[in-house]
Order: sequence, then C-alpha cells, then structure tokens
Amino acid sequence: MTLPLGAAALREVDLRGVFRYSNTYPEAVELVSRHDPDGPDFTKLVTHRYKGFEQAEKAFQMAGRTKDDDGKLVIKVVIEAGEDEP
Amino acid sequence: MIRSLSQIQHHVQHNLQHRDQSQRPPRGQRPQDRLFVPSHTPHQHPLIDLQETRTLPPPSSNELQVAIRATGLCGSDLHYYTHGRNGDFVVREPLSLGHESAGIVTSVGSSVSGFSVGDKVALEVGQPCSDCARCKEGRYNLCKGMRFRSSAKSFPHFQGTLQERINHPAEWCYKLPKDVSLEVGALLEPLGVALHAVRRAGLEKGASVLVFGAGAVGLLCAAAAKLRGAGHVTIADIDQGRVEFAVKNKFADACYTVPMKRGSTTEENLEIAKETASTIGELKLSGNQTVGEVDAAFECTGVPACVQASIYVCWCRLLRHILAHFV
Repeated sequence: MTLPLGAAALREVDLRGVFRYSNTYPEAVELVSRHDPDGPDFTKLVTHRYKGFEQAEKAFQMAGRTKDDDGKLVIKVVIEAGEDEP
Repeated sequence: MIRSLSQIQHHVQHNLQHRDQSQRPPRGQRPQDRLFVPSHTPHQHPLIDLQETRTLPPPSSNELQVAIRATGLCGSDLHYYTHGRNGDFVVREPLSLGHESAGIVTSVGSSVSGFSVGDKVALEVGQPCSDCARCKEGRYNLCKGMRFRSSAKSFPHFQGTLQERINHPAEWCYKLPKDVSLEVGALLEPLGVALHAVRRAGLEKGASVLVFGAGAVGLLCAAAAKLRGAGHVTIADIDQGRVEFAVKNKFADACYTVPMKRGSTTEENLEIAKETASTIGELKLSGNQTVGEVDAAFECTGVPACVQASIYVCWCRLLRHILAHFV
C-alpha cells in the first residue's frame, strides 16, 4: 500500500494502529446501557439471527454477504442458542 | 457431553477424535453436556461434519461455566470458515469459531465471588500472559503470549465460543445489566475495538471525526466517537445503503457515498484520494458549516484509497488506521 507520508508529516498527522482492545469491557457495558434516544441504537446492528447450531452454516453464508435476498443490509449475524432470555 | 461448532480438515478430525477418546474421563465424573463445532474447508475438502461432541469438565475454582446464548460472526470467523486460515494462521486441529459472545452463568467456581447462577455475562475471550512488559503496562492486547478464543495463532488452539457451554475465567466475564440483551452483550467485543480506537485517538470534546467504512467496526467506531463526545461524525462508504443506515440509526451525523474510481498509476490513485478528501471536506453540515478538515479519521476498510484519503482529510491531528483483524 502506498501512503502519502509526506502529506502526513507536513500536516502532523499521526498514524496509529489499533489491534483488538484492552480494558474496554466495563466502559463498553456503560455505553450500551445508556439507551439515549438521541444516541446510536446498538440493537439495530444485529440484522440477522440464526437459532441453534443447526442453522450455523446458513449463518456463516449470510455473514459473507452484504445484502440478503430481500435486499436488506447484512451488518451483524448472530448465532443464538438456548432458550429465550429469562 | 457438549456440542461445539468447529472447522477442520478431515485427517485432523480423526486425530482429534482419537485423542479425545484417550483423554476422556470415566462417565459420571463430568456433567453430560453438548458442544458444537463447524468442520468446513470447502476449497480443500468437501463439507465433513458440522458438529462434534466433547466433554466439558466442571469449572475450575476461578472459572464460571457459561451457557453461550449469542455469538456474533466476525470477518476472521468467516476467513477460517471459508479458507481454513486467517492470514498466516492456519487451522491445525478442529477449531470452534466465535469470539463475540454473551451467555448465562450456569455454575460458579469455588473461589469466585460476585457472580451467581443466572447472571447475564459478556465474555472477553483473549487471555494474555499477565506477566510480560506489555501486560504490565496495561496493553495486554499486544501480549505475545495471548491466547484468543477461535484464533489459530496459538496451538493447541483456544476454542471459540460456538459451544453450548464453556468454562471461562471469572475475571474475564462482565455482568450485563438486566436491560441489555445478550445479543447486544455479544456486540461488546467489536465495540471494544471501536472504543480502543477512540481512546487511541485521544479525541477531545467536540472533535470532528470521519469514519471510512460502514461495516460493523466502522459503525461502532462512529458510535463510540459520538458517545465519547465527538462534536460531529461523518461516515463514508462505497455502499449508499450502509451510510444511510448509519445516519438513520444515529451512528453518524452525516454521510458520504464514495464513488468507485480507480486510477492506473500510484499518482493517479493519490489524486483520486485527494479529490475524495476534498469532496468530503465540502459536505454541508447543519447551518452553513462544512465538514472541512477533520480532527481524526478512523479507517475501517483497509482499502488503500481510503487510507490515503484519510491522510488528506486530517489536519494537524490524528489518523487512526483501524486494524481490527483477529490474528
């Protein structure tokens, strides 16, 4: 990949790598607990749900697509297991 | 016995079955659970068997046993599933995939406090050594000894969460409030990547932000930037539906659909990147303001044209190149 490092240097743009995370879970729990009506709706990110491992293959196939057969966006595919939430 | 979902090659599967038999304790010493594993390398082998049964011991004294209820699929899972590898890391034994997970506590180890059966928990699935220089400075994500569930980097592989139940150290489990669903609990893992990126950016309150890429990581970066006080977040992607989704669901304030355009030389490509940066800068915000030059760009595509444009659109601040790939 060719990057314009001269342009970055002259504008004092720093390139910082990001690899996974550390010490983020407590704050992440707080962010999704806010339920602010003016904030992002995290529940909307899960666009496709598959129940049980029997449907896992379908789930993986859907996760490799950008849209489903109905033209709906595929963002996060979740495999669910077990009973409904208590 | 528990079932798990993993991905393997045929001969390796036979080896594992053999080893599992030899290591299996007498019946009655362990709870009989199920666990599930996808075994699929379509480019090398036909589909073999998507499920496998293993024996799960009771949790150790420092562990919780968790019934996994929701696992989100990530690009690395898909790489392993489709190619049997992710970059340099090749699957060498049956591997359960999945690392974005939440579930319900079903058993609590004898020395664990603060958790009860029935608690909803999200799982942090990377286990660093806790002893090296990186771990001691708090950057355990860079630990060379990290074992990460569903990654083929370490061997034996640390099995992923597409299992009915797993035993997991309590210190890496996080209780979820009642009003947070288990599937949102599963999102805490990719949200962690986004939050880490925003922390690395050192965003000041009111900062203007550009996010390239409106997939899950890009959307979560936009969300994390907003929730941590960014003044304005613009999101850009080649897919108009995605950027519109981002604005409609309040992940971003403004959006831009990047036209597909590719030059034939490096110089031409850099010119195109400059144009992209300048077009984004001219986008209108509320009132008479424009996006202008942003304080931070979060590059979540890995596409050279977007990385280049990220540099041109930043001014005197920081470019974050989000490498969220799980290796």
